[in-house]
Amino acid sequence: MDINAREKLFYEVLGAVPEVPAGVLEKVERSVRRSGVKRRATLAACLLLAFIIPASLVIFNMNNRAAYADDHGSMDELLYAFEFLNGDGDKDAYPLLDDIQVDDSAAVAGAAPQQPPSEPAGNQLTKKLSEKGLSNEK
Amino acid sequence: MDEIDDITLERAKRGDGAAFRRLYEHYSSFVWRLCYRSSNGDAACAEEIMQNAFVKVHRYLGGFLRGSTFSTWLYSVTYHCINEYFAKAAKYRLRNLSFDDEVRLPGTDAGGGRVPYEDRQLVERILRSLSESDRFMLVAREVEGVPYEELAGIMGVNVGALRTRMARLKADIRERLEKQYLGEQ
Repeated sequence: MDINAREKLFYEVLGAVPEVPAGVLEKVERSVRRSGVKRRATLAACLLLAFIIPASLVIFNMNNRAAYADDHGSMDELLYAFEFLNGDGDKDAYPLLDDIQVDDSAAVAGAAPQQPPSEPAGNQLTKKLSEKGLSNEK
Repeated sequence: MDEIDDITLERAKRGDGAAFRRLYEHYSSFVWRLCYRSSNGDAACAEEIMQNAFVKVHRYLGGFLRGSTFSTWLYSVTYHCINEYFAKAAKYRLRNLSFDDEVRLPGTDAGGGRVPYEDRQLVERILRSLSESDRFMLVAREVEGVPYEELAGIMGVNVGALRTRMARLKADIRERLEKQYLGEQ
């Protein structure tokens, strides 16, 4: 066989390979299915963590605030109480102050009240706060 | 190489399993040839590379934008899978086989054994002494008839550099064949 024929033979043999093995496609499909399941599981776990952690923190915080309010009164009520003592605030907005009587008729009429109030509003409030376990007394 | 029809390709892109199977049947033999020759006739290795290539095709088929023909894209994917595989060189125990080592030929060739055994063995020996990318280039160009421009794009090299490399490779192969031929004379 001369060199040219040999070279030609070389390229013929180059393209001559065994048949494609059976079962490759099934392995590909199995691999694709497995990686799809793994990816979906990872995504679900990430989404769960992304929502559960912040939600847990919010619920935990709300529970703490509710427990504190049960034991010690609402923080808002406390704050308003101090504002009221300073002469600010709307009495009607807060139920804590419902039974505290404030005689503001003198302020409206511009005259001295006929009868002094049975107890100063500040004292009434302080009493109410101490009933709830809070006091600003030193 | 014939391209598969557009309808089947579109359906495969949308995740149609039957369309993907038709795609595989259409292109499997040419991917197999590339993988088999690049892996030096190691069928197990070639099968693993081919499997990796088609898994990648399945995963990224939706993003195939038709900037090139599908076969060019498939060549590209196969080429990268081959390189990735051989980057882990320790897996490939025949990698450092020298030219004179005895070679076990894997089964019969597609010609049904018409080629004399000694000639096949010589061809296999020459191929085994080449690098994976040289073998890939040789099969893609000389067997599959991929144009130089496409092949250069797939391999990420300049067309001129590719032509020069191919010319040198063919000259080297011819020289080895001549030495063998003269040796026999």
